[in-house]
Amino acid sequence: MPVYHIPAEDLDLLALGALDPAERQAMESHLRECGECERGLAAAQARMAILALAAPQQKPSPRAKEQLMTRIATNEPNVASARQAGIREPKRTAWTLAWAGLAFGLAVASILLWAGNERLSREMQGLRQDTAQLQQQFQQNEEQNRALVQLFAAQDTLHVVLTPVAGQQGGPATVEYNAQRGLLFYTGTLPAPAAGRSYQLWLVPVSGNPISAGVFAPDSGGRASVVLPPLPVGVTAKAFAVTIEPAGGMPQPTGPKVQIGAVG
Amino acid sequence: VNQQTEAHRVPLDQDLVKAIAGGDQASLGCLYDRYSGLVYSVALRVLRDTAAAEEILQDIFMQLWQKASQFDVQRGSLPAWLLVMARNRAISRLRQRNPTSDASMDEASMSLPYRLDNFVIERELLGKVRAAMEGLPAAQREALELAYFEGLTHSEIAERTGEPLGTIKTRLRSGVETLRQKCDC
Repeated sequence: MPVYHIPAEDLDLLALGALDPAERQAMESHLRECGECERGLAAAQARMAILALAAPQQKPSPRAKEQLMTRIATNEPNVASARQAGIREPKRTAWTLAWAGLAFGLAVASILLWAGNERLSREMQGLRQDTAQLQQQFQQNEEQNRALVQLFAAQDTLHVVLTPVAGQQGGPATVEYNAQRGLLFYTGTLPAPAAGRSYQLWLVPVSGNPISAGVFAPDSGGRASVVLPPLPVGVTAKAFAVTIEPAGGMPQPTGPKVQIGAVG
Repeated sequence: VNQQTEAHRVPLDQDLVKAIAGGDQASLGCLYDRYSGLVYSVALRVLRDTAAAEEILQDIFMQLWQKASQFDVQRGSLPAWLLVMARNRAISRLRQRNPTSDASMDEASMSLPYRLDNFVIERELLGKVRAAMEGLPAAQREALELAYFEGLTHSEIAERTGEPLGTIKTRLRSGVETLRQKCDC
């Protein structure tokens, strides 16, 4: 189980709907695994719901209720409602058919279970191996989610917009960077690079040479991201840039810049 | 004492929801009378269109009618669910999105820290929330309203107001914190 929990004030902002998509996705990923934070989000949603009371109070027209009650009167109750209301299905023929169907169903199920037993035994062995791999993957994902939540929640995280360089294809991009934690998240839109070429993200420090923040390729939709590349801690950035480099990347930038953004 | 007397006299939400699950149209009408003003006001504040707000109001109560048996009043608060639904659906419509963020009935576990099924308590809470909002600095109130009633994110609010993103984040955090303190939630 996760040991890190999203702070209540961040859950409030998530419930408010104020988080940008990347921040929201990072938190939602954690929430899927953490019951405590999920309960915290429900509490935050309720807290934020009181904001609705700040709306000037108005009354709907009487016609709205009439239309609703007409819709209800013509709407058949659903099965669950009918069961809860105690609506019975007492027809004898219906019971007879139900028993016949049940008996037939049980017979078919028995045959299928017998035939499937041997196959399941084989699959069990494979599943045990898969489970061990999934547990390892889960732990890795959890660590990544925790770091992303810290990155997006920290007050000293920089949000830098990268714009396309004139003459180069591609859309804008953003970088979230926290120097004290050495955490970075890049997301942007770029066309597929030419054969034998890669995109490379660079952190340009206030002093010293650019530091590689990873080599990447966009997906078929042109979406690209660099998630938590290994970076030294405590490097003050003055800009971020994306260049086109030989496949696999270079120790220092050699190719043309395609996106660049200065730290404001 | 008056509040307690009134609270005992009016049917509780949980009893009305149970009756709706059993097909009782009058109970739905009772809950509609109790909460339609709140739901409609939120939808109208977001959409600024009376016809569209009434459509959302009807759809939400229609969903309550159809799925009442899935709503566990012990786990969640009906008015909280109604308000969240009203806001989410109105914003989805405003921004031409599918209402994917709707809370479903079986997921409704929001416990509003107040009762709204009592007229006196509701008026008191309305006054408290409004006073808290009006007491916020104008820039904080604007950021909160853009987020809540127009469904804008940090970055969209920064773009709309021309303020730095960090400033908007700080305003929202401070605004939410002040509301929590002033409204005791």
